[in-house]
Amino acid sequence: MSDWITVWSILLAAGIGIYAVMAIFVAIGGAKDIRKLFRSMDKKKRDKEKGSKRT
Amino acid sequence: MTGLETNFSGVDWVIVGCYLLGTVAVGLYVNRFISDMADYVVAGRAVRTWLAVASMTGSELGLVTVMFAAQKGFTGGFSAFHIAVVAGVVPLLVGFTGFIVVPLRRLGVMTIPQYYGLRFGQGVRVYGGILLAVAGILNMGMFLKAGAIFVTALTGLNDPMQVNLVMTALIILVLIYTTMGGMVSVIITDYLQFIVLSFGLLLACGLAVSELGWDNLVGAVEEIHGESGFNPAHEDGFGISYMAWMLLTAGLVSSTIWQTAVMRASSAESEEVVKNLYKWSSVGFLIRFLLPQFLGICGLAYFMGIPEVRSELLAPDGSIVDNSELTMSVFPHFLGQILPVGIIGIVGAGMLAAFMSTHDSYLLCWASVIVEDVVVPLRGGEMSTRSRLQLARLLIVLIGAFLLIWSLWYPLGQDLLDYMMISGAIYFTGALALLVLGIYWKRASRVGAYLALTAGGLAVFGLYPVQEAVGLEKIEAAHIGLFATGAALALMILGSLLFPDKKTTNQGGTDE
Repeated sequence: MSDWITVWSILLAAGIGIYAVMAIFVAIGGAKDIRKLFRSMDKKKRDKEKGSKRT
Repeated sequence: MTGLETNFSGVDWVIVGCYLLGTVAVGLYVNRFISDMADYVVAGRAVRTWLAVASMTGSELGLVTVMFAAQKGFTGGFSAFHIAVVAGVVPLLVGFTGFIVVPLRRLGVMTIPQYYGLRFGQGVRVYGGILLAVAGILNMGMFLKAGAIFVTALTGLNDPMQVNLVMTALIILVLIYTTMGGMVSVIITDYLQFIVLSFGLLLACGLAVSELGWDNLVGAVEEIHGESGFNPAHEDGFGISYMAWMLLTAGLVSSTIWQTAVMRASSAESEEVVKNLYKWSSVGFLIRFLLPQFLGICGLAYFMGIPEVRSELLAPDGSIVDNSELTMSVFPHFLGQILPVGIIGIVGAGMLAAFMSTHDSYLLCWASVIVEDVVVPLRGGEMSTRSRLQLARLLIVLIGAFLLIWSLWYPLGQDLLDYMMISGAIYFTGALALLVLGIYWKRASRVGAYLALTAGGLAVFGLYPVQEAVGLEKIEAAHIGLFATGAALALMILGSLLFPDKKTTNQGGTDE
């Protein structure tokens, strides 16, 4: 049983550590991606509107 | 649980209110960017890696997931961590190999039945779409119940009318911003929720360990569960067949077959982003089980130290009481005890946002499947974008109304995780056969696909109320699920060999 306790405690510590670091990266990178997403969708919509006006 | 006070206060209600209204405002704001169905369903396929990871993790780390994972930690002890392991390792392997998801992204499909249509014809698409929508909506059936238990236990609201009002208000908020903003609003709210919930759960774990101490946690699990609380293969605990079932469901299906995960892959900008998404999200898939399971164990240790609550949670023989709704409430009760004022409001808001986020993803998903894979093919493909969007929005409202009724009527009778897996299995057992063999085996045929989808429906007998209704003795949901999966794969192969397609369509088949 002690082997299992060791396995689960290592898993928990490693999982929490890796996730904490990843959460910081994702929070910063995600904010940048949102800005890019809005820009690209806005551009697509304006291009569509321009196209429909021409026709 | 009787006689428990919660730390949830007026300040926390204000935090929750502001957070949720802000979420709705985001949904309304992004509506201006929607110009067609691809924008609405897969955010114009313009989502990059970090945002995709946040969205996938945020969506999968929903209130319901956290509740059923915490319940498993409480009822199974540290052994429940095996579910977290398979949930994390399988997406990582998918990230390296691109198994299933990369061919799907390459084909540019928005839904899995769309793939059925390309590979096996429109009839299979419609049949698969109906099964997927039915299973998916049933799968959502207990979300409101879980949400209501969470709100009651965390906030201390005891009046059922007040709880119903809160739940109805949440559903209405979800319907507003999902119908308006589609996948873009889903992704943005997922991102916000990812941040609040990730740091909130990490903080809760830290506080729980500092309050209870590691040795007490281990001691409580040993006292209540014995060896089976640590060894998942132990016959008194989960056992080998349950582990195999989790490998299939929490591992492979959750990450590659389940429609909401596939929609995230479909929203990705490129195949490379899909692979990166899975590699990074594997940590999120691990954590979405690991942290709540750990908090469930903390709840066990905490409440075993309170004699009145202990007697309520334990059966006369000293095992955990067989009452799913009670064991589900341990996690929010524990949060209400351990978190301080203010923090509990932020975590509560994150959890409720998670509840809304899961609803929006699933509502959008099932409504899109009904429109794109059932209604449009039946109408010969002729339906304007405007009509499709209107119908999707109407369906979202109708499904929301159905869920309100179902969650009040259906007697759960088993752990929430097991209900979720087996109701989902009605669809995914057949889908697994169609996707794996359809993509990687050229001889997979239309007849085989129909047979596999039908065999998958056998999984409905894994629901305990259904077993009671047809007079079956109680059979483990895992056994029924594994049997249905095997039957679907066998019938797919047999049907394809006996009834090969006359003309090979092979639009989805590859030599990989």
